[in-house]
Amino acid sequence: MTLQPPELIYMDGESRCDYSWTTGEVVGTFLAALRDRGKILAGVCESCGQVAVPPTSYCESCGAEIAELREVGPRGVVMSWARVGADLEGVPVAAPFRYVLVRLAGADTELLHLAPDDDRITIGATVSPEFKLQAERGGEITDIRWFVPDGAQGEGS
Amino acid sequence: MLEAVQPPGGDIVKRVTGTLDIPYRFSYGAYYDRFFREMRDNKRIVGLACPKCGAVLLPPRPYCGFCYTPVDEWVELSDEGELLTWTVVHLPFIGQSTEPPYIYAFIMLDGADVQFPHILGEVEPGEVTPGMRVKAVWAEERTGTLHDIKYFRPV
Repeated sequence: MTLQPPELIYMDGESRCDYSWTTGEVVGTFLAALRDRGKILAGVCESCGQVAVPPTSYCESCGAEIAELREVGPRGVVMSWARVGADLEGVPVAAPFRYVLVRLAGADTELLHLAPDDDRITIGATVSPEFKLQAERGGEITDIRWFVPDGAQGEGS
Repeated sequence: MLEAVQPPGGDIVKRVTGTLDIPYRFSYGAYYDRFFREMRDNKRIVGLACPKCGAVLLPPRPYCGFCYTPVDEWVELSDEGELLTWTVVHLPFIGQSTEPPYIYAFIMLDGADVQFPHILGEVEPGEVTPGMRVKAVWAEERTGTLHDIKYFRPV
């Protein structure tokens, strides 16, 4: 079939999906600790020993059920980062910002989170979480506003 | 099991809620492009005739749905046909383009072998009968969607 359209025809639309995600006991406890205590909990695997943050109900390394949660951090080391130059829907900070993978003290996995577009955010840099005020927290991962470089606390955001 | 780390006083977080807005652009591709272009520009409904089994297919697609033979022979169909079945939609739902209540119908256009879904107009639900003749009422402003036909009315 030969088709030489003068212009293409499109149909534009938008899907809107309201969701309610059931957290489960482990993630629910993790989020409650962020909200109520400003603490970051990791899942400790009794079988292989991996300390994972955020915690999951089953060890992502060996599949064993997670029965213990342990506080980690709050400081951590940047293992990788990426600069984002355009605003992204669903991300609560304006561009430019950075995504960071943070290995929190005592953890064996990285937590994906946000950071300011600050040149002190480099691989190996030590960072600390900046929590929202207690009244602003909602039991979400964004109860941590972002991770800031050591020495940057109190510089404002 | 996890009681040792339960926050004192506070319940665990049981749900996280949110909204995903997903804008999309659907590109019609060669077959739908021609189908909707004919509707938009010429108020014509076109289908494809299967060279093997002879079925006339609508909306157009690259393979015959009856015998899986590749098809590429375009044929013009009537914008009139026979009402096969219908239902009255009372419930609102996402993506609806007409406010309920309205009559959703399957129509066998003259010359086609596949039924065509659309809505009926200029008729009350109590007046609809199976097998009645219906004809497309074309929209004044056409953009290349199924809404280029406003509805089918009784002949």
